[in-house]
Amino acid sequence: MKLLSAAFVGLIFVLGSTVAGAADVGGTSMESQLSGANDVLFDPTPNDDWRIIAGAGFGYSPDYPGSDDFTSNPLPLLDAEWRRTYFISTQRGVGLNYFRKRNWRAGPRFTLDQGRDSSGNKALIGMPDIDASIELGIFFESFSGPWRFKGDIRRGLSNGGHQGIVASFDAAIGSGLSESTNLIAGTFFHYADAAFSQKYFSVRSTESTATRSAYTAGAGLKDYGAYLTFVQNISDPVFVSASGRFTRLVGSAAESPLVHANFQTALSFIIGYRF
Amino acid sequence: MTEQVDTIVIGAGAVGLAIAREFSRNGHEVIILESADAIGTGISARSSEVIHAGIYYQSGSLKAELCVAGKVALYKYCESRNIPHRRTGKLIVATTPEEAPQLEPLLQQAHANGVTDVSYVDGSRIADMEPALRAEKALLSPTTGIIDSHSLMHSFLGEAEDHGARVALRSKFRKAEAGPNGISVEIEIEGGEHIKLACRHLINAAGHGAHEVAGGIDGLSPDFIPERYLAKGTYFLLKGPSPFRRLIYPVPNSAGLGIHLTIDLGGQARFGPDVEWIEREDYETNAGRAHQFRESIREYYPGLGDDALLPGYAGIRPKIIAPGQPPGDFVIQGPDAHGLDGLVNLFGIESPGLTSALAIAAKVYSRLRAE
Repeated sequence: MKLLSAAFVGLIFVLGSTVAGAADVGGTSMESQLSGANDVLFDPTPNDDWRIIAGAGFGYSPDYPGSDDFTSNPLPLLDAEWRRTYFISTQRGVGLNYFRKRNWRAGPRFTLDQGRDSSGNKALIGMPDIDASIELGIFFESFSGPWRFKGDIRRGLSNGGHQGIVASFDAAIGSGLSESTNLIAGTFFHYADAAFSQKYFSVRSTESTATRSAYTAGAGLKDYGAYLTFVQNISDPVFVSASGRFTRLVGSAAESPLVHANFQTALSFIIGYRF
Repeated sequence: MTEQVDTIVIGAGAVGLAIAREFSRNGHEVIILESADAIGTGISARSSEVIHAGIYYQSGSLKAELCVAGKVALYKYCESRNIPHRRTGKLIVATTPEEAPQLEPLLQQAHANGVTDVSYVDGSRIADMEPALRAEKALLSPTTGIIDSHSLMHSFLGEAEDHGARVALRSKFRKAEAGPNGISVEIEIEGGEHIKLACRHLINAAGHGAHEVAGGIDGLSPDFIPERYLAKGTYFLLKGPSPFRRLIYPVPNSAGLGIHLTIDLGGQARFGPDVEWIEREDYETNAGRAHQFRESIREYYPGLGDDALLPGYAGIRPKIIAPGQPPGDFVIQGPDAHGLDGLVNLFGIESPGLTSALAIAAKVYSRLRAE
């Protein structure tokens, strides 16, 4: 019974945190979109090699981190795991549960920082695009009763993209509002080193204009925030989810002349299918 | 087969976009060529964003005519289209008794230019208006204001596009020659490919690139291409809230309006620009100039703290007059000057170019319509 209860919490996090991060601020990073998918505690198909969740939806989020303009985007969802060991996911990246214990897991993974397209937003006119960057990092995730804790540290590897280091921590609690409706509430923060901060938040003097002064961003706490996700099971394999994510940019990032709104809101809606 | 268009405008800054808007709304097919990957990244992005009243410019000059007409048109345009702007007013200050007489010629010039609302303000009233300001005497210009120049440029572009204009980014003018079917223009587009367009009207509003563009026009005598000089101006931001509600200008010097204080629409106060003659385009902000800024600013704002200035940005004025010479005028050079049908070159469109943009556009249109 205890295992089933934990399994239920695990499932909530599978669905909920997948969606919670799906409309991350600016769509910049997959890190905060990481699924809590966890078959250490919950394995609905113990005899199957594969566990797959797929879906689609849309998100509504700022144009870029710090923008006061919003954009809506389609959100694909895929989270596949093989033998509870290897995973590929639009939220978690591609990685390996190298350490797997009853209540926690950890390992290496590759994620994708989506970069920033400077065209289409007048606040970024004259700023260079930031290319997408493959990131290599290590992550951990642990469960304790209704709680889930996770974090990671990762570094960008791609030329043209960021080559900095970002670290995150996330704590969330899940509960069932009814047999078919679940709620997750979570909080998080991100730290970024100087290389990452300068890539996203600095303005070189040659890029400065009357509306955008030169600025050098530094290392430090980049943001913190909270999210709330409702998951409604429509039938056994089908669910829908709605999520709101609220991010407060702080420190050196918040002071950047590229940042026009320190308080960032992102919304997402997804319909998914558990295979 | 060379594609034919009616009008090509080179340069998608405030002036080029205003011209494109003017031609397109009068029924002309317009293509705007911009070498950068976005509109408004050059001179227009690095100004003080001030709507000038038209005080300083010599009577009869294009600057005087087009600034005053452009100001009226610009306020009307902004009000009708909700372009962010504000009539802040401006004080031109004499900080010592010795400087006070320099205000009188400015007042006379303003009145001669038709800016009749400029008036004297004495020391006691200045203290009421702007307590942080040190001034013996000042001129108040109530119609000076500030504007969001990027919103303005996007509005110009939007209206032009609504009337069928197209903008080609990352498209560099290479050369042109006049022929029986108009002007043939060779353009290098993204990827290095060269294409040709034929047009009836070619308008060179390329800002700093205007001289190079003109040099590539076959048949245009070099006598019609003025010398190019670059006067860099650096801006510093003021930490904290602005101590002033109005724009504050010292009495002007030979190369510019002096290191003045402007306020952007977000309330950020900034000082500048100074004048630094340079050989090549260079937008690096030199933080080492803060010391000279502090000395100049403290003449009228003695409360400026030692560490109150932050490097802001730098712009470059497209001068056509050598250092030490009297201020030059805008040059709008049409077929009546150079003899090439359909061609207009614009040189030296520095301040008050932003204020004058709509009036310049109307002037260019009337020049070519008169052909």
